[in-house]
Amino acid sequence: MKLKVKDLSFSYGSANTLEDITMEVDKGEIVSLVGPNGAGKSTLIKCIDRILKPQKGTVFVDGKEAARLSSKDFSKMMGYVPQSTLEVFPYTVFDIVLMGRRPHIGWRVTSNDVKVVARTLRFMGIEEFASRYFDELSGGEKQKIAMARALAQEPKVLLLDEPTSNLDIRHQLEVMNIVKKLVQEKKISAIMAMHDLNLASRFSDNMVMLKDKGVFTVGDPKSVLTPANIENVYGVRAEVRNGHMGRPYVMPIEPI
Amino acid sequence: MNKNRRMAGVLVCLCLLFLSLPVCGEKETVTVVDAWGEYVDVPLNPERIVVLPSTLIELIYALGEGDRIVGRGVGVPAYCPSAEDLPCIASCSVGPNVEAILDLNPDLVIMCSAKGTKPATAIEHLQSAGVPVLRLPSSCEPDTLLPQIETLGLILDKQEETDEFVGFIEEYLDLIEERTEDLEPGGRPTVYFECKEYKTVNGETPMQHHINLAGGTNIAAEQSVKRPIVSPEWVLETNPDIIVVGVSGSSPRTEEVMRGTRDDTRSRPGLKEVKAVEEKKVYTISKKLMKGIGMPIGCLYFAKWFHPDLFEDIDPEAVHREMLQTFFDVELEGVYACP
Amino acid sequence: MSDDEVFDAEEVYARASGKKTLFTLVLFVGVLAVAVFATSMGAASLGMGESFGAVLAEFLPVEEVSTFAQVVVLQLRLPRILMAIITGISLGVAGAVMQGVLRNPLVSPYTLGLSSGAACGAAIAIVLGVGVLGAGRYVIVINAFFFSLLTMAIVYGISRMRGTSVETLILAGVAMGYLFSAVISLLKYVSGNEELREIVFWLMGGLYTARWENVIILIPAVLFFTLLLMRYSWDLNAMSAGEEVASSLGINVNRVRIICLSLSAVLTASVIAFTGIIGFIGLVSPHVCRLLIGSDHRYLIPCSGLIGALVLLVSDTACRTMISPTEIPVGIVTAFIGVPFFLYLLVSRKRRWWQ
Repeated sequence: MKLKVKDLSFSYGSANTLEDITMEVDKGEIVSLVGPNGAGKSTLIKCIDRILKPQKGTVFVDGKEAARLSSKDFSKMMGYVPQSTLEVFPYTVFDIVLMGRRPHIGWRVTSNDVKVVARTLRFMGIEEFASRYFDELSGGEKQKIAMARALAQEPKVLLLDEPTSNLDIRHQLEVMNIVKKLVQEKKISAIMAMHDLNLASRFSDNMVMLKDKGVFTVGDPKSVLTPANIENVYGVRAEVRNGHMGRPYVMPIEPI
Repeated sequence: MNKNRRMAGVLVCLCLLFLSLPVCGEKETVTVVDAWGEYVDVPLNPERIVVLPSTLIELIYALGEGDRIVGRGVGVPAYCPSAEDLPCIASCSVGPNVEAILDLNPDLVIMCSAKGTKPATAIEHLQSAGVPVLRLPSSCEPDTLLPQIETLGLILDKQEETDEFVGFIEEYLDLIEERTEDLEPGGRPTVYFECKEYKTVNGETPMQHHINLAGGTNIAAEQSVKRPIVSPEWVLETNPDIIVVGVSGSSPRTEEVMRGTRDDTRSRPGLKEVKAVEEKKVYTISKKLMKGIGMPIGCLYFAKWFHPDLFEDIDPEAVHREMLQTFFDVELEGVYACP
Repeated sequence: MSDDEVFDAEEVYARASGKKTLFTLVLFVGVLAVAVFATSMGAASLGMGESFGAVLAEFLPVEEVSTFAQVVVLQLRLPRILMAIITGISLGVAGAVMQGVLRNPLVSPYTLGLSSGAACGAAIAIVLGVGVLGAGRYVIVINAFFFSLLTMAIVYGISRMRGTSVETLILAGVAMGYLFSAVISLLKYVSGNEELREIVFWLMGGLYTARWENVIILIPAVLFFTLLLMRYSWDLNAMSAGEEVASSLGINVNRVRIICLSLSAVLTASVIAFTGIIGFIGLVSPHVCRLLIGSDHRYLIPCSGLIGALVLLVSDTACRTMISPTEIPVGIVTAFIGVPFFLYLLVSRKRRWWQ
């Protein structure tokens, strides 16, 4: 599965928030969207998932125009994990993950659906929560359940909107490891909006750096995370060191 | 006994009137009894009166003194079409507009006895502005109708007209009482009175007086709620001899409306098997005839319906027409009752 | 992964679903049982045997029953019992759907202004004696129905102007509710005694006007709309996780929202037009259900309807018989019976009872 975004523009009201975005994601690839607040990371994720309707531009999934697919077919291809999940009403974890089967089922739940949910819970290591209530869980656990729901969709592309914000370092690593394992084992792609440059550096194959509504630079972490780029995009003087497994490690010094 | 007390009250008032005459030099006053049985001094023979309750407007018209009314409340009495043109100085029965009243420069303001902070404040303001206020009971209650006519007669100094009007009403009420008071309980038909679908009246309402006077037995007299909704199956089981349906609206209704209401009631599933329906004793009557000066006419209708043999000689509609011609100088229009 | 554990989770789910299905069935049987019991209760002194005999005689040539028993049971009690059940179902279902679709536990037909709209329509009909379709016997009913739907349309229209945010919709509903209440107050203020009493009465709500001719129309309508709404259970489940998630699950959020809101508005309007305002049930039935079986709308919608039916039927039977033959307006009894029950559930935190 190959995802391609071409000349995508989107604006809320009169202010442009995205302008002529073009990017590509290959099968089995993790791509991070980085950039300062307001650069349009979350908006781009939502535009790709058709939650927001871009004014201009096209998203191609395996060469097919996404806008032409039925919403049901499209939702079988893309799974979306929101930044935070708030359930107003009490649902069990199993019920929430089962919601992910919505694109595949009619009114009746088949045993296959139940099996997929059970398998997903096991894959995420959260099967012991199955009959717990969502509101009793911690932030990290909730994030995993939101991911499990997206996985139950059996998507080809997983879209994550800042999956590690609000998590402690242990949960950050756990969540990122799950993403990595998913991409490897299930041969799907993942696009994440990320704030934490070092986590992004460590776990992504490619990075897209956004600035002023547009793409500033694209490439592997090493070529994207340079002091010059960081200074230009974030307005921060930073040192970039050689970190774990040869990935660049960003050490911010001071704002300019 | 009731009548005696009334007479005594009038006598006391008359005595006080004479006593007060020499005392007040500039403006004559008269002492009357207000809604709470207290003596109050009000100006005698006021020329400009503001009257809020429509029933009292009607009474003043009946005494031939409608010209003295300069302002009214919301309701316009059916028998006094000319009252329509009077300025309305209240948004509702309990909310008089003090400024508008003062603007009319009245000698006297007559209000009803409704309790509450609004009328109380209004009275305070009016009295501090030097306008006398008289509060009279709502004339819905049968035992307050005649004393009120007399009180108004005293204030307006219209003894002759008062006697005539009171005499007219008393004649018929006495006539009904004479013919029904000796009825054995078995000779009093059971009556189910309805204000709206299955909403009836208990023994503490004025309706009880009318039904009782006309020689009937109110089946809901014992209920604890004044105007209760009652269970349809209970009405069916009680199997009343007569059903009377009150039709609301202060203006008279058309024959069509009255007949329609009656036929609706007759065909109601829970009433089809009731004796009153089987014997075609379902009647509709305008609620206008249940209170105020309509009351004696309403009682006549009741009496005629409950005991057609005893009141063969009476034609309530004719009495109604006579009352309107004699005291209001208007013709009877619309339909007030439907047999 | 081992097949054992997959099988295990499946069984856990099957057990949970089984319990929810059982709960639904128990509620259904409960409503039936109370209905049968209510058939033998009333102001008329009929024995149980006579009451049931009257019902049976209608279908089987078994025994002779007095006309009196037949009229009381078949013409008076049965339509009223059925009216209580379908009114309860409508309000419970509409409440559950509205709360789900707007993701707000405080929403009910009352909060969205539907009840006030209906009341306003009724009050106008009472005071002016005219309705949108002229005068007649059903003036109040038709006016109430029409105004209720009009309110929903206005509220939705307003929220549409601001991009259909849930908050705008609820606030617009609350605002419209206040507006209509003001109109009702105005009408109460300027109307005479008679009309005033009538309006106050309508506002208290009641089932005493139940008749076969109305019940016969309402039963299929209520069942039809309820089934239609249950088709959206999955969408409502997904929407409770937020619009974005729902939309990423392939749901056209705006479309589902307007369909569900209109259907539940029609459902509510068609019963309250006949019964007057019966508050509380639409708000609380869904909560009682969530406390007992969770929020899965596939079970929540029917259970909420059945709980509504149960509460309303018990309340109405109580208000028919407590100080018989005088009846108490059902809204009063509903609150007296329902509120303590609800508070008990809320405080005792019994919602995990099936685990």
